[in-house]
Amino acid sequence: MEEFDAIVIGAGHAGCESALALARTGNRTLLLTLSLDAVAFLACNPSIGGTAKGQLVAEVDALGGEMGVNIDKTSIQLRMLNRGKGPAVQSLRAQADKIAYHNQMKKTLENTPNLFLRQGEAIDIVEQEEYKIVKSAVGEEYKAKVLVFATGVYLKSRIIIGDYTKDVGPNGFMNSKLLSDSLDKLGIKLLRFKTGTPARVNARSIDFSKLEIQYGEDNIQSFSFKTKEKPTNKAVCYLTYTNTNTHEIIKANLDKAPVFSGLIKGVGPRYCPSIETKIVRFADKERHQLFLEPESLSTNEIYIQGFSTSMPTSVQKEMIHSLSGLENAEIMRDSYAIEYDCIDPKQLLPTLELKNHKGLFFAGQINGTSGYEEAAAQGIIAGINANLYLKSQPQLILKRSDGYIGVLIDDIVTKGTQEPYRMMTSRAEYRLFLRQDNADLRLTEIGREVGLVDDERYNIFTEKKTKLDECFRLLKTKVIIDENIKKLFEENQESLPKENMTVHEMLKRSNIDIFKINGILHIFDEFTYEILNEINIMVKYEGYLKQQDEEIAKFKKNESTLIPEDFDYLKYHGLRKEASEKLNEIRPFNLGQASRISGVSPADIAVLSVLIKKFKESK
Amino acid sequence: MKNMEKTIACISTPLGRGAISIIRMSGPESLEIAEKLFYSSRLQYKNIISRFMYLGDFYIDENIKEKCLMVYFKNPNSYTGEDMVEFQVHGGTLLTQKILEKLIENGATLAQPGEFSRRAFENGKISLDEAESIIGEINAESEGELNAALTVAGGSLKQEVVKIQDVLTDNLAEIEATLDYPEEDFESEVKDKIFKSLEKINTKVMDIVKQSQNSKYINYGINIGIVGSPNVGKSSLLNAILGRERAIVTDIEGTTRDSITESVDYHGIRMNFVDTAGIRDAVDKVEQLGVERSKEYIKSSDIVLYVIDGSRELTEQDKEILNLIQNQNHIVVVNKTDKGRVVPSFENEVEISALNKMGIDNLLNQIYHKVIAEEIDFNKLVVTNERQVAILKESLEIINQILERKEESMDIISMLIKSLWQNLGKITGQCENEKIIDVIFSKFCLGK
Repeated sequence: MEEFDAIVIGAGHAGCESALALARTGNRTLLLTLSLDAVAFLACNPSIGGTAKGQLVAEVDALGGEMGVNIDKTSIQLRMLNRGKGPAVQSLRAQADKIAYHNQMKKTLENTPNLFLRQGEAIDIVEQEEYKIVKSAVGEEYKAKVLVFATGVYLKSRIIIGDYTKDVGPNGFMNSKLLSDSLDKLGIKLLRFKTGTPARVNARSIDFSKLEIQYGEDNIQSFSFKTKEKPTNKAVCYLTYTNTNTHEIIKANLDKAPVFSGLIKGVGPRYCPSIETKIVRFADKERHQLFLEPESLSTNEIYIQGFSTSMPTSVQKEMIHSLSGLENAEIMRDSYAIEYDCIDPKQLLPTLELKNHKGLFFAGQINGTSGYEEAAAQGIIAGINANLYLKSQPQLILKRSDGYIGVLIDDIVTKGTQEPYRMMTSRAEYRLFLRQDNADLRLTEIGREVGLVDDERYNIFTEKKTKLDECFRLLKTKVIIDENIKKLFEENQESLPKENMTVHEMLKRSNIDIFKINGILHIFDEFTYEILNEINIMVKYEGYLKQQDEEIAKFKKNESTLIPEDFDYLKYHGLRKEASEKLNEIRPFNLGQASRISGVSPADIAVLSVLIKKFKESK
Repeated sequence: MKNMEKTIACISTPLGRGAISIIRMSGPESLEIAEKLFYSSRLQYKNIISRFMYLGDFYIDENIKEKCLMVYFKNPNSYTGEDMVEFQVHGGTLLTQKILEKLIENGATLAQPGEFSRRAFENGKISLDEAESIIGEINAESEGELNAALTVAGGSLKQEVVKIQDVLTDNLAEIEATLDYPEEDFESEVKDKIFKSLEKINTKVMDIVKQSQNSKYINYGINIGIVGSPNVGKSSLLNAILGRERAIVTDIEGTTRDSITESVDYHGIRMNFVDTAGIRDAVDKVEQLGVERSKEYIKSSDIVLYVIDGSRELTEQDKEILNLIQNQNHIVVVNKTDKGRVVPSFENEVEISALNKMGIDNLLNQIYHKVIAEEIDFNKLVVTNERQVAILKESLEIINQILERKEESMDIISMLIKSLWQNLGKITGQCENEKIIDVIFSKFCLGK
């Protein structure tokens, strides 16, 4: 039996980050995957980032993860979403070359010391004292003290197209039939979720002349704080819409749709409904917008975003041909729905370790989440914590005020999820602070501490901090109101200042930004766009950020009150029955987490805080 | 961490009309807030003595000040272990509420149930043995609030505020959908729509605050002062009223004022007759204690009954007292009409004969209508307590802040609306808005 320090099962977006985090912190790590051709596979849309997800990628990157670097090397189009809606909600979104993305990640894994990438099907997990033994389908056995479960949507998965179903994984990859039972045997509660992906068509058969083009943005930043090269746009996307004809076809065939016929039993995500669900639920909407996205520069395949369906292929074909520009589209892959087993994430600690099973970590879609970025975010945390576990060091828990990663993990382990969980900016209370641009300022030190941030990244980070400090000093510069400055105020419809003011005060005016000021004063010439943008946001939103800071300080107070592991919720008087039962189920880490459990009231928390203090002092 | 605590305030004495009320503040900004509002010739704030009672004026606004006592407890020598300031004021629900509102306006936050005790416990001021009793206190206070919210009338406020919260949730969902799904083809300009809706909410909340005046009468009754020269029949009047209706409240002996309150129930409203030994003994207040004292006494009433003897000409003293109440809501009670009437007629008069118990019902009816502007529809009325009114006023401030900041980007607008939502949640108990995401998915068509 071969022994490793750590074993990661599954080489999707979660598994890759976990394995890299473990290997990079010096652990001999086995990364076992069903198919080497499915490493970091973008099973659904060929894109990374987007609202809230862009922030997640930046955070994974700041901690020393790979996703940002990998997409920077393989993106073919970039846009910043929500420009003009405020800094908190701006997110980078890339079209990924999915073939290049897979290849690039696979190469990185292959070249990482301590990391052993291997194809193989895990069929059983056995806990033996401090070891976990993984048995493979071909009779191999591996053991390690720590195990990360990142099996994605492959557990007992089956795809559904009309009345056709087949027990396979995404894209027809082999699934895993036995591992679910192994989890069941360990006493883990499983859920059954559903998701889907639209059809891919051949670009040569699309009449692009009928379609609106969507270009990428030039002069745009990269995902990774490490990437030095400016990204370039190499492809475009197109827009088309459904029409009455499309809707008629769908309505006429609803009886054949498995979501309505009852064939699909898994719970699908509300944010990602199939087109038939959209037509039924939003009957008064005349058309739905669809994006045509290139899958890769090395293939003609085009992804039809917004058109996921599990209709029979004959109906799918009719539906696609009803779309403007796609009248003669050649379908290359059918759209399908997929059902799979995942675990109820309430069984996890906020470290992503399973409660009552030391050394067993879970990350990614197996935890009931959805999305590549959500998976990578959990992957890196599970990897970090698995390493800390091996070294007997305290676990890393990111707070809701530290990043979207903190929000994501806290949400799923505290409240669970009724559908595949997707990150949204509206889930974050402190989103003005949790921006993409400051992810490095928030998390790089933490990444450094856990050993994932290398010198190169750390130097970039400290230099940024030095530059920011310099910039802040320059903000105190007194500005003499001369003709040029007067013109600046007038041109921007700002009232003229009565006396000389500092750059900082000038920047406070709503129509004047740092770039306009520098256009006249040229005191910031030596600074990059990123630095100036950061300063701009920090000054313009100073008041609101301060307000958020105060809220965070208040929030942290409850987060810092830890609840002893052996605290007995059912024993004490004073707690309401409902509250004590809920608390006992989740067994929160701290008072803050307790307060977020549904059914636990502020009064319960006040009572609990007294009980905890009493408990601690009586020991 | 201690410094991170907000300064909290609450009324510490039981609600309702007592002889004195105590309003407490605890937290690092206590003294700073007090300095803005309380003046005493003997007090210099930088040299303030801890645990010393200062007599001075609490400024409710530029013109209205209230004499009260103020005590400063320097940390850690206070109940909570933090800096604390206490105001002891004359009992009177409206006054107490006003003072609490002023403190909140100047930076204090309303205390959560049991929060003073919780802080005391956390700062080690209360022993472990007492911990159980604090738990009881927290539960009782939050239960009390819950019960208040469960009464028919109390529930209507909650319902009203829930409705407002629902509108805000819809607004937020609309904003959030555009922020989280920038690529969907939503209506591009949601801002105007949202600001229109906020203006409506503003009006609605202002209405509720206005109505809270009526609710004050429902909660605590109408305070009625009786004045008049000696021997005009003030005590017979009171006896006639009390004899006719069942007294519902036991007498509460005052300490700072030698007054006694006797109450009767009239159409569901408690009428509190502020009686004094003076009136009882037919020894006139104006005569004995001077005009100043009477003024103070009249001021604390919602309405004054000015009693005269209708069977004789007005005396100089009668006229002097009439002068005092000119600007106060009052009724001229023409007594002894059984003996024949001599006095001219008055604008707001009611004829009675206290001796024969004639005209009493009419008098009570007049009091009711003159204080409560319109007939109260108990089904529609929104009943509020001090805490709720304070929250509503805080909410109004937040709404105005948002309305002034229309130029801000949508992420900021959303943040401000969320804080408004949460503030209202203190009334409804809905503090977590998981609904936003539900609404986004139910109202908007999203997806890949």
